[in-house]
Amino acid sequence: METYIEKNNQAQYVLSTRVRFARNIADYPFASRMDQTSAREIIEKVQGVLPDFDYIDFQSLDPVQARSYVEKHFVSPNFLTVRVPHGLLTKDDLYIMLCEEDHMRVQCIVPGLDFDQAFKRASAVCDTLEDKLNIAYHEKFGYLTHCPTNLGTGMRASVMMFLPALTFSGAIRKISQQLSKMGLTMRGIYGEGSEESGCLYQVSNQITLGISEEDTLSKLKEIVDTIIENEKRAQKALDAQNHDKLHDITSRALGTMKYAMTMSSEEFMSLYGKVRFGLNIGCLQDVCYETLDKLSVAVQPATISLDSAVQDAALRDKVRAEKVRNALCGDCSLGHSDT
Amino acid sequence: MLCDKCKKRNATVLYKQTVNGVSEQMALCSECANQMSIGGLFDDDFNFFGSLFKGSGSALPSEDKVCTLCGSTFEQIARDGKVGCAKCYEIFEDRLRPSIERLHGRVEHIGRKPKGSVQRDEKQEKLKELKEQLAASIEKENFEEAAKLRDEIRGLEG
Repeated sequence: METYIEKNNQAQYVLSTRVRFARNIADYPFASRMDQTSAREIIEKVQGVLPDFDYIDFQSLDPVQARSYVEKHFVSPNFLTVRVPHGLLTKDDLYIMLCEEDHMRVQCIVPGLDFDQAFKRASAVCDTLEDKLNIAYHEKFGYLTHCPTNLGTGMRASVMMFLPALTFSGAIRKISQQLSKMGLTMRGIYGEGSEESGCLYQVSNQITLGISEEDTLSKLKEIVDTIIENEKRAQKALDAQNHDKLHDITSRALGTMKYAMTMSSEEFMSLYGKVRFGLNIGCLQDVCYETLDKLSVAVQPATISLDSAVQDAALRDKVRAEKVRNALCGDCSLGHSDT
Repeated sequence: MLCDKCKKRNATVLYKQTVNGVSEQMALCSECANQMSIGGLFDDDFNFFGSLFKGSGSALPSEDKVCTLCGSTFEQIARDGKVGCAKCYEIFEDRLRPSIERLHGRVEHIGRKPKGSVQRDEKQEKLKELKEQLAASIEKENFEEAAKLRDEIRGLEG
């Protein structure tokens, strides 16, 4: 289920692309008014329309396992607090949350920058659902959603970007302010500790009413390309001014990753950002993007607890360091991918 | 120092979130920090919309209308910032529209439509066309054709 991390051809700046649609069945109340029976009926109806999807029942799922799905970004943290029956339908890179905020949240997550693929796959599922179910729709408001922020297309497209040079130079703040004026949102992911942590940002559309799916995606793609150009320029400038210092900082980060015996998740994210930056500017070679990005999910607390049956935080830090050491050792002769 | 969110465990992480250039800072335990950081991917600004509703709702006189499907009142919707069901959008359309317009900038959906709705649109188009032809036939005093068109219109209107 971690296919979106593999085969990423734009790994330097973009980790993944996600397109999700919010859909509801017309004759049932939305989440805040929904009872157990309605939720069960909705799940049965959707399962009946998509029989080739696997269903994971979250109501009976072990909490650590459920948390691990959040860490993998397949479900939202809110999904774990739903009181009525709810679950996840999955098939390949498609993940449909049932009875979260909306009856259906159809999502497709693909590696790198690929709106076309994510849109095509998620909207094909919506077509199937619309053929068989009475989907809530209004001529003026478009697809009807629990929260009016999603009205219209019900589509949220987002890209997870790695922007170290813009972060370190401080330009990221200005960029995110400008994006908000254009109906887009930029959020820091793993924002704890300091701004340098992880350097991961999610850029997504905010407006869903009065703009078509195609226009939303082409506007977002244009902006993402501009951000990448800005990141490249900032990277070049930083490298030209501080090459030796950057070489030192990124190499030290890699050294810590390779040899540390205990590591908190905050420390991991900070090192992750530095090592990934080292790869981008060519200071580091003997580690690959895929290994780092897979680690960023594998070393999250619940995923570690699930894989290693470790609940204690201090022990988890030891297991985390060990996982990182082992993963990087396997990478030593891989070389730097410059795609 | 106790965690600012759960107020139970010790704070070990300084959490800083920046959304569109506006920063917020909190001292959190590692569990709450973890929840906050990963939540960024799915957060949709619900509280923000709740406050938008309150602005427009309070300016309008209170009504006793209740949604026939889910039992919501407009006051409940304004308080939660969330709409009860699809029917609420019809019942409270006039009161919801100003907030939706403020949120999205316009209130006219453009883009994909469910197939049923496309068929409805096509039917409306056809009806419009037939009614124009009917008016033209009456004008020309071609009553035989007008009768045919009238029947066709009746059939379409069900």
